[in-house]
Amino acid sequence: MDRLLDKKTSEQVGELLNKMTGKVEIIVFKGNNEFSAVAEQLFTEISQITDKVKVISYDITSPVSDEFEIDKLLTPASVMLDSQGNDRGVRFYGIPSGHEFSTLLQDLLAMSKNGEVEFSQKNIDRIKTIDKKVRIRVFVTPTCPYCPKAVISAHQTAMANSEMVVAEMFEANEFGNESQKYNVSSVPHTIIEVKENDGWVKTGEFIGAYPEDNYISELMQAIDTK
Amino acid sequence: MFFDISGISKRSSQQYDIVIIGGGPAGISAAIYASQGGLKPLLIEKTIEGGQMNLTQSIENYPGILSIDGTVLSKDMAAHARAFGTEFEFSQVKEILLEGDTKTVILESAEKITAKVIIVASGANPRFLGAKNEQKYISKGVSYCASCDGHFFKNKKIAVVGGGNTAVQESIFLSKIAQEVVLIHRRDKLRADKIYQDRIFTISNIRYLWDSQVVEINGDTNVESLMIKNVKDQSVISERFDGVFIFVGAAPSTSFIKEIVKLDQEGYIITDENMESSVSGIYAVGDVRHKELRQIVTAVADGAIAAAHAVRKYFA
Ligand SMILES: Cc1cc2nc3c(=O)[nH]c(=O)nc-3n(C[C@H](O)[C@H](O)[C@H](O)COP(=O)(O)OP(=O)(O)OC[C@H]3O[C@@H](n4cnc5c(N)ncnc54)[C@H](O)[C@@H]3O)c2cc1C
Repeated sequence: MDRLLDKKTSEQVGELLNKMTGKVEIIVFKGNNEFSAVAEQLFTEISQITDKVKVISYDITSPVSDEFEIDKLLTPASVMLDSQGNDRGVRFYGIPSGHEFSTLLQDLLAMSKNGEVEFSQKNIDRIKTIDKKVRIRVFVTPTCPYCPKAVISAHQTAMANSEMVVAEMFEANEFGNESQKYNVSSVPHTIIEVKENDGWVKTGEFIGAYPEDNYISELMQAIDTK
Repeated sequence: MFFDISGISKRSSQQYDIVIIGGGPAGISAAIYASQGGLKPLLIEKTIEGGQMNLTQSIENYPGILSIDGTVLSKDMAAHARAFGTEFEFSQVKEILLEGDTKTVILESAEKITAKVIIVASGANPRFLGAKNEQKYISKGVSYCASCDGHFFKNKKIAVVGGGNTAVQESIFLSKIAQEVVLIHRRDKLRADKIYQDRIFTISNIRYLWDSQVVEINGDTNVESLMIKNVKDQSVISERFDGVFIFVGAAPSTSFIKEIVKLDQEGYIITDENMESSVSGIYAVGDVRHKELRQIVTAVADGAIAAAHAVRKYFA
């Protein structure tokens, strides 16, 4: 496969990731498809730019995927571990290319600082009150300029309360079936699910990227009203 | 496949000579000219640099560039401003406070930034059509961005509402994805420029409903049909569609400033020929300004005029 990141982009990535403090691990679960190979290569190219990023890949059939509760049908799936080696609920389903590439880099910076959250303290405190298992799925496309904000908000929520929240970017083009299942026809489309008796139940959804306060309100409402 | 790394940068100060609100072509051009004038501008953008240019696949009327993807031009313009020293802050401006000559910009995080001069380049947002149930089906088949949502309609039948340049350009783009595109326009001819008209009329899977208005959108969970009224004879038909893309103009983004500066009847900011608004030291450029032609080439011109004037008037 040709290199994905050209020289100029690689340089810019290097400059940005210079600001990483700790090391971050990206675990990629690969399936038997082209997207999985591309995702693995993208992460590997980043790990060649900075020694602060380490990439480990597994076949999706590996039992390691169960540890992270990755659905065997959804590949490529990627998990980020913070500078202490902890799972903070940050997931990518599909390739974070296009505008989502900046989401990936922003997550790397935050996770290198042990999952640094940029929400206001008031909002962080609200997220910390979440006491049920919550899954936030954000459907995006690489060409959608408003999507990174929605994914970052979800990932930051997971970092703020990693015990309870897992937050996933879903590349809608790659996961057509999932998009259909959730009736996605515009992006970003955020789905909020709460775990009940071992199954995920949708309790809320919204379209678009919201400013921080509105985002947290929508989210808390979706979690509480169930 | 492309890899975009904008959207990641932080500002270095709370105080700037000049703060530009909005990172579309108008704001970026203002930033470049402010830097050339020796200032260090801060540009605040709530979503992504390039503004509305990101919403289209092909721009073909920017002099010197025969055809370019809007996302590419966005990145190139922003890189140009960065190379000249513009700082970008990714945040939404909520409010502007005036105290003497000092202007304070309040961000969504409640942080405050002060500036001597503000250039408002906040552009415009797509206008709603006003059809019944339109809001209910947003993201359930109603869309305002073809390059964002078009591929959800692969081999499907979609309607495009509008008759201007944007509606025609985006219909051409959508015709490559959808099985059939039906362009619904309330007049009997397109308002789009000739070059776009010449092109659209050669495309075989685009059909036209003239003198027609979408009055109601229906379906179970998703859009399934449109009620279309013929404005000549008032007859209404229902036709099956999987989705509808709406391009009926734009409304200015002025919520954070509309109490402060003078607006025209439609809410656009009124300026003098130097782009200065009714408040001295506050400029307005690009699509947010009262003017005839809202395009990239006029947006960048506005930005240049405003910044160059501000440099001479307030910082000489
Ligand atoms: C689908 C489509 C196709 C088009 N095709 C063409 C074409 O082919 N040729 C052409 O010349 N023109 C075209 N246009 C028009 C052109 O894109 C606009 O005229 C131009 O982008 C206007 O530039 P601007 O900088 O004034 O505003 P915008 O591009 O609207 O940018 C304004 C920016 O301000 C930001 N903003 C708004 N409010 C705030 C706030 N409170 N705080 C912080 N940031 C804020 C927005 O997020 C946005 O990024 C097209 C437009 C569309 C929608």
